Amino acid sequence: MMAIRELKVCLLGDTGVGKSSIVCRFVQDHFDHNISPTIGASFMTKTVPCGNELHKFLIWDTAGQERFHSLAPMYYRGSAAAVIVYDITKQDSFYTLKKWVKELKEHGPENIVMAIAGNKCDLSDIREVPLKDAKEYAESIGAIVVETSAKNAINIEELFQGISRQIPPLDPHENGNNGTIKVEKPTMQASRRCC
Amino acid sequence: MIRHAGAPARGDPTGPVPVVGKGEEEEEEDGMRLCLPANPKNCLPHRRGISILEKLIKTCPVWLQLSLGQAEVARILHRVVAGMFLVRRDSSSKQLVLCVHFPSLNESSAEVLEYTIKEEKSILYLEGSALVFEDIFRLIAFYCVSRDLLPFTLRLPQAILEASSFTDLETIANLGLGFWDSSLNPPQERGKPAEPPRDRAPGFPLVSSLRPTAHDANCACEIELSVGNDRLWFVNPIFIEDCSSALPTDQPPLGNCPARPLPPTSDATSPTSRWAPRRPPPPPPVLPLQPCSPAQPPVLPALAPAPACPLPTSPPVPAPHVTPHAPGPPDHPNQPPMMTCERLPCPTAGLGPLREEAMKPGAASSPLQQVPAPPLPAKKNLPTAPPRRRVSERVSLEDQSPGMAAEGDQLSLPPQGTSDGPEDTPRESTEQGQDTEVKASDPHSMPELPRTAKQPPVPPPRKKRISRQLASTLPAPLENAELCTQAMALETPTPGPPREGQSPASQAGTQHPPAQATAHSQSSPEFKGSLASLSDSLGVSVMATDQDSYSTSSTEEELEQFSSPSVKKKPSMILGKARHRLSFASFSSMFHAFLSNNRKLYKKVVELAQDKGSYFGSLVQDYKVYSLEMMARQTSSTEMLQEIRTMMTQLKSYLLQSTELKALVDPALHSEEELEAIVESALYKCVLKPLKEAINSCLHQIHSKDGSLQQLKENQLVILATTTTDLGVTTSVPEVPMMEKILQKFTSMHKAYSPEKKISILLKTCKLIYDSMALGNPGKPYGADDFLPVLMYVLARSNLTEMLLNVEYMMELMDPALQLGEGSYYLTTTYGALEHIKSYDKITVTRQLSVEVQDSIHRWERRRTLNKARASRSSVQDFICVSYLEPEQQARTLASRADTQAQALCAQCAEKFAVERPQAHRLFVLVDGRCFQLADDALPHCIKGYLLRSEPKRDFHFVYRPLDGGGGGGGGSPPCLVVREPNFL
Repeated sequence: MMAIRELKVCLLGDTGVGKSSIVCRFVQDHFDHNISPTIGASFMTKTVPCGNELHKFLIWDTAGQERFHSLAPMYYRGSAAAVIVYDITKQDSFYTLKKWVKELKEHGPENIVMAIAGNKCDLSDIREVPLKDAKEYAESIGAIVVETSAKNAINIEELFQGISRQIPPLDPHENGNNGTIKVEKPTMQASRRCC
Repeated sequence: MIRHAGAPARGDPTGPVPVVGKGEEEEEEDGMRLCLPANPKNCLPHRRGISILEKLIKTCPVWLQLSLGQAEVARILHRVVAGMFLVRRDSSSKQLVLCVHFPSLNESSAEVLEYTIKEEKSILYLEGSALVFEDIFRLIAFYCVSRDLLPFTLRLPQAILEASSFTDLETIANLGLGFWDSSLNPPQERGKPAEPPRDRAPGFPLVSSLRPTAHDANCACEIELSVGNDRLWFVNPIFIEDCSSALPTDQPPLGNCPARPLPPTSDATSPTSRWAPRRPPPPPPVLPLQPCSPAQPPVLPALAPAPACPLPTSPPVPAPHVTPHAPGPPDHPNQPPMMTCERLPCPTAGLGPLREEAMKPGAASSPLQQVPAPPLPAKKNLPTAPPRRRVSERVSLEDQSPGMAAEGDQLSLPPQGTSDGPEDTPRESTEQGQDTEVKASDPHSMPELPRTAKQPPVPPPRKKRISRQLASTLPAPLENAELCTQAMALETPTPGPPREGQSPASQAGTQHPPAQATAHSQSSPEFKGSLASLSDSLGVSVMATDQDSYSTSSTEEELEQFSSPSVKKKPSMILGKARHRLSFASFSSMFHAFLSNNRKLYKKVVELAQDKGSYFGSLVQDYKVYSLEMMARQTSSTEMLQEIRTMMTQLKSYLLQSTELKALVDPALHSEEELEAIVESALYKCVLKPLKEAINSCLHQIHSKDGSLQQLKENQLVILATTTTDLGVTTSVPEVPMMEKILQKFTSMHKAYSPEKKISILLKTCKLIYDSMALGNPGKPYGADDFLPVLMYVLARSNLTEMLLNVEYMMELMDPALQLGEGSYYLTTTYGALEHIKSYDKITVTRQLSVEVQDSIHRWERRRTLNKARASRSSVQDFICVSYLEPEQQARTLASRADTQAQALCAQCAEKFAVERPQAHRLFVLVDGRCFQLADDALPHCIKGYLLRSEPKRDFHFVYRPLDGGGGGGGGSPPCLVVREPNFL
């Protein structure tokens, strides 16, 4: 039996960019019959195979409104990965994304995997953010980047596969142990973030 | 037990009378004895004593003789009482050696046992032991109260024991090595024939004298489970101290001494001693005598074999004889503070109930109880001695009530009882109704009752471990059936043996009748006894509380049982789906077997925990007492709750390692994870349930003081007057009927004591909110953008005070291993919403959370992280908050190890604060306005811990700043005292 690792993934981005749509698409497209559904779309889970492990994503959505900004640390704390979403038709949302990246770099967990999703790529005719900009930026910060369409189910799987690949495999001797502890590196985070 | 220490002084066999357990009488007796010229004041209970740890620290010049040679140590120890000790450093190996005076059998020659103290990184431990300590003081303190692999506990010189002020200790410390030959170490004591190496006796006095202080010591309870080798515990002696008082009773003094002579009846110790060998083999599984098990469990989880006890703990001398060293009066002096606490408890120490039980015809057969303590005639008609634990609990409560009342506190028992009472009463009656029914059909099945209708499973859906889910549902088998099925499907159909499946109840009945009978018989007398003794001081309300905490079946659970049927009719979506996915029928039989096994174990664990005779039970009791006292002192809600959680984790770790649990468990039936989950739920019931009201009162008080409640209340009005649009709501909100339903859920959440149960209710509530949101636009997935505003809308219409308490309760007390799941998510979100409400007025102005709120959130994060760090197996990190230049300026919380030296911490600070000339900066600590510079090799954590524990509370801050005191006129211009040891004040 493959080891299941629980990976906390937090979802950041302006309100209205389609954060929860992406997750719903990801979670519901291939409904996992082994996993009980969650009560709402703010928190969803999905288990995907990765190598000889199973990655169970525990996806924590955050409220994107500015006024809730300061609650975010509670959500990204302990995250193995962050999906930061912007809307390719809204330049502002890309600025917001950069703020999130900066905040994560400063206060987020060490080694958090960052994945940038330019959502609504089905609306590329009214795009405001060129793909090139996003790619360059992502490269500069070492993040995964894809343009997605939750509506048309484009690149959603790929987005999460990308994350899975970036999650370092468990140490062999830690197998059997639940991987989450390792992923979270609680003590490390503590030292970095408690200010 | 504690008694023993004191009792011995009298030297008269009747002294031990305490056995009789007459609290009041005892007190009188003591009073008389005590009122000796020397320490009249001792007659009055001191509010505070000096903890054993503090005594050890203060007097280390006496016992910590690093340079002493083996021969010299032997010379000194030769003349003192058994159990006295010195620590020296072996000149060749450079290792510390604990040298203990251990009289040989023939008493003609004394021997010194030597134990090497191993050091590994930042921890110390006795060679061969599984217990690890952060420093030598804690190690010694622990062995003063618990022997682990020693033949008996360590004993401090009487003068140190009796010292009641720091000045006394200082005087003693100043003598250094000379103390041993000084008049302070009186000849009687020195010359005294070695007292029988009693297990606990020697340590007792310590314990008792310290006891009160123990609580002061801020629980640094950092028990860490370490990885790798067998070190299992990082023991915080403070905790142990507390518990140790319980030990005496439960643990026969001389475990290893099989041939213990029957104790003279009059001897106080005798009852205990005859009970069982100290480290008896694990009780047989399904031990019918469970209740009696008290006597045996080793202090430590069977991990530490007693290799260190080469000598048969022979001196069968009853504890009382120990007295010699303590000339009459002296022995009390050392216990001044305890007077109330200790005195009462000791006599009763478990004896009361047992004795009574023994007298019961039914119980007579149990071997352990066979020798009823010779009840003193006079005492006989006195109310049964309340079980030791109880007593102390009561005492502590009593102690508290005055103070608390003064503070308008609600902690005192009566309120608790009251609040508990009303709430529980209705349920109880219902429950009883059901009980009766069951009883009618099968008297023995009563305990199994819960199986029929259990509380809805609390399992946060997302649990990391499936088994946890099971466990959390344990208490609520019925309803959980679905969940379990689900879980089983996930895991593997490894349900318990089908054999039991058929008629678990009847089987249980047949199997355990004796055990249950015993349990009942024991508990009821106990109960009566305690009631009797409690009632006068506490009033009837106590009864309710007590009853509640002692009833075998949980009222809360029962309550749930009754509500569960309706829940079952409308299974949540989760359950419904699960049901569809599984062919339920095929599972049901396995299921029952499975459940009943877990259920049975759960009940056994609960019984064990409630059995004050068992070691674990006494730990639990001590812990509860400790918690009540601790809570009264706390000013921080999180710290308070975290202490409780830490304790629970410790209890859990202990039990999981203990032979006590092994004796109850059939390894074939329960996986390790299941066990953990079962123990966790059992602890909810045994620890949290009785404490819940007190916890809520404290939280309420703390938040009244810090203004949170007021803020919430004010902003609640603001939000109620705000339109949904302004709140950011973009969906429909719950209509009135739905709101009512939601509010009902919140009410039941508030009533629940189990954090997981509360979380499950929270989830159900959130589900209702989602349902309402979807009304206008079905099918649309609503994420946090939509949900959070609606949640705020809902919360604004709820009882925010209760909500705040609940959220904190859940956050801090839930199993730290479950912090990633759905429950945790919604808990976080609820907390966020509350914080948002709390500062709503400011937010509307600034459009974002105030600095304070951010701070609060950061603190929150930190504590979560802290908890997790504690839960993780290898971390020995702790945190220390350091300000830059000025106290509370640019404070940073730094993680470092307990053994990190000031120098290293300075380096961290230099980086953190990006100072340009780190070499010119140092770490300072400001205590009540006075400034001290930390020596480079000082241990900031020790200092922090020391200050935290100091009483009265000190206001202290660690500050990183230039040596010249510059940087904003921190007021440090005059050179500060450079300090290294924690006790520099």
